[in-house]
Amino acid sequence: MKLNLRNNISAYVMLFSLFLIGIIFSILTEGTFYSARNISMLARQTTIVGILAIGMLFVIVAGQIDLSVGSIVGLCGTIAAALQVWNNWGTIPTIIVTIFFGMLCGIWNGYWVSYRKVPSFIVTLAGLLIFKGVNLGISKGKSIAPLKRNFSALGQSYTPATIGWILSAFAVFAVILLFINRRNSKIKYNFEVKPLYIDILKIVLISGVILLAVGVLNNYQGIPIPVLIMLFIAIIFAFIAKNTVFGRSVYSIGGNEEASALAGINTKRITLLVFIISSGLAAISGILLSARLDAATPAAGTSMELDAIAACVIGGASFTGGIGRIPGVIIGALVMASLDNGMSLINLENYWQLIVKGIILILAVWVDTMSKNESTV
Amino acid sequence: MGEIVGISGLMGSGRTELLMSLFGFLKGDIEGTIWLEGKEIKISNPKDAINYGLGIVSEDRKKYGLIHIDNVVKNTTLASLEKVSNYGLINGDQEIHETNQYVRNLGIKTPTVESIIDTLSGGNQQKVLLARCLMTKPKVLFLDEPTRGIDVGAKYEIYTLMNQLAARGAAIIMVSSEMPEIIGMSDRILVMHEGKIAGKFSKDEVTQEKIMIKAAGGSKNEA
Repeated sequence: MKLNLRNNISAYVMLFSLFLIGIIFSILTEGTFYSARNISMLARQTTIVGILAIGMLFVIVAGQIDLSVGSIVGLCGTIAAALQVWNNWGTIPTIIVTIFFGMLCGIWNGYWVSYRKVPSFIVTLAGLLIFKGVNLGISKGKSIAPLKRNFSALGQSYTPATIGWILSAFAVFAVILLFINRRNSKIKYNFEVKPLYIDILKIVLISGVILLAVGVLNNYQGIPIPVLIMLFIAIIFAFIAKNTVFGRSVYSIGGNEEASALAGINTKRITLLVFIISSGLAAISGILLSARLDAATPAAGTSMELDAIAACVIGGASFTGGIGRIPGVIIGALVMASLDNGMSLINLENYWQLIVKGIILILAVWVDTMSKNESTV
Repeated sequence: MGEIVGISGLMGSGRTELLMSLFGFLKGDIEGTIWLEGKEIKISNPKDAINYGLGIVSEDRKKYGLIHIDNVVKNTTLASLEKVSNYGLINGDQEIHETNQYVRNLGIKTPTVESIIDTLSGGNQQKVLLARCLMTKPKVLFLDEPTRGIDVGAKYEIYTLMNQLAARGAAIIMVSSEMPEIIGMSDRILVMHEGKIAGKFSKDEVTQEKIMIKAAGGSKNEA
């Protein structure tokens, strides 16, 4: 019961803050914030931090932290651009090699954390410096541009309206199948099944949100490709977190590492894998960021790890480990992107943006620890 | 008919360390060989131990047992996730179904199997950890202080369960600091002193006094 209350507090805080931010900015910008064009921009801005935050969630749930992802974003962006511009590689091999390189960074972090028992805070803080150094060494501190057109399309283009509607029809269909499947499984094991109208209501609600979102985005230019990529990654990793032995192991290690080890879970390997996931997703973020900018810049990715951590904590993840869900984290990323977007719209100077985001990070963690104290005292 | 072997000794005599290193959990300066059903086996981590058919319930259930923030189902299936999954995918409903059976058989008192484990009483938490161990279908059970910090009723239930398991052919190795428990439950008793086995007794010859002398490091002819 206590835990349910706690989870609900986080969920309410999250939705309430998103709502509040939306209202404040739409008043300050006289409605521009909710224009189709801006919502499309907002969705695209969410993707980079959103993908980072999905990887960060696994790390935080396992009871660790990864401060190096911002530098990996920058490094992988540079590597992708270098392969394309200097070596004239095609887009697909570039992407594969870049993601592979990102995963190598994760193996480096994970090796020190799980097999050499150095605290992840230190390992990844060192990683932040190391990967940044490698980045500057490769790029010599200069921007690398321009990229191939089909590469930058990954970050810049949109789906045509009809494709958007077809995809949303598929999504609605998948939601219905999922509910039917769940019901049948419950019936098979003779469990209590909720009344049918509740399931139907849920399906209608979810489908409504999907269709509304696609409608708004189609009203501008369509669904941005990076948004589709982020949703695809989010669905896959939400499934992994909830339904696989690996996902369960990550949560149980975060809940109690010693007990998990005694129950036969290979805690070292799982921790290593978690860092590989985080860095691999950081590489994808790096690719999307340079695609959007059509260039790799040496400063790309700087302090993005803090945005990702803030997105996780706002989305209900807990630093004590074992708690956090992907949908929450995506909303957390949306909150962070809304702040960025809104503050830029009202022409707030950059230094104010840093101050505000720093304070938000503290407040989010404060809400987490406060609700934890309530539930233990 | 399986045997119940009790391990007695003072605090810090190395009883828990013995069980934990047999189970592959403690690493370091460890010597000796492990034999199971006439064959020598190598155990380098708890997963090996579970695969060979060993099971453990630790003395410190908060530190080495419970996943405090998870529910009864997740705590029960933790050591046998392979059994409720296909190709790495967990079947959530099958998991609940299997847990329900253990909740019924062991008489675990919980509002639902989806209640958070920390809301249960000590005795019921202990039974969930026993269920976790039993779900792996062990041939040999290591029970370290199985009745520490639980009420009399639950204690009695755990004794009954141990006897049932032994009757069905499981071997049980129990560490306990409570003399009546050791003497009442065990077919054979080992006494540890400073990390070594200092005395062995059969059920018929044992007395509290004999155990205490060995546990305190008394010489052989005194016993």
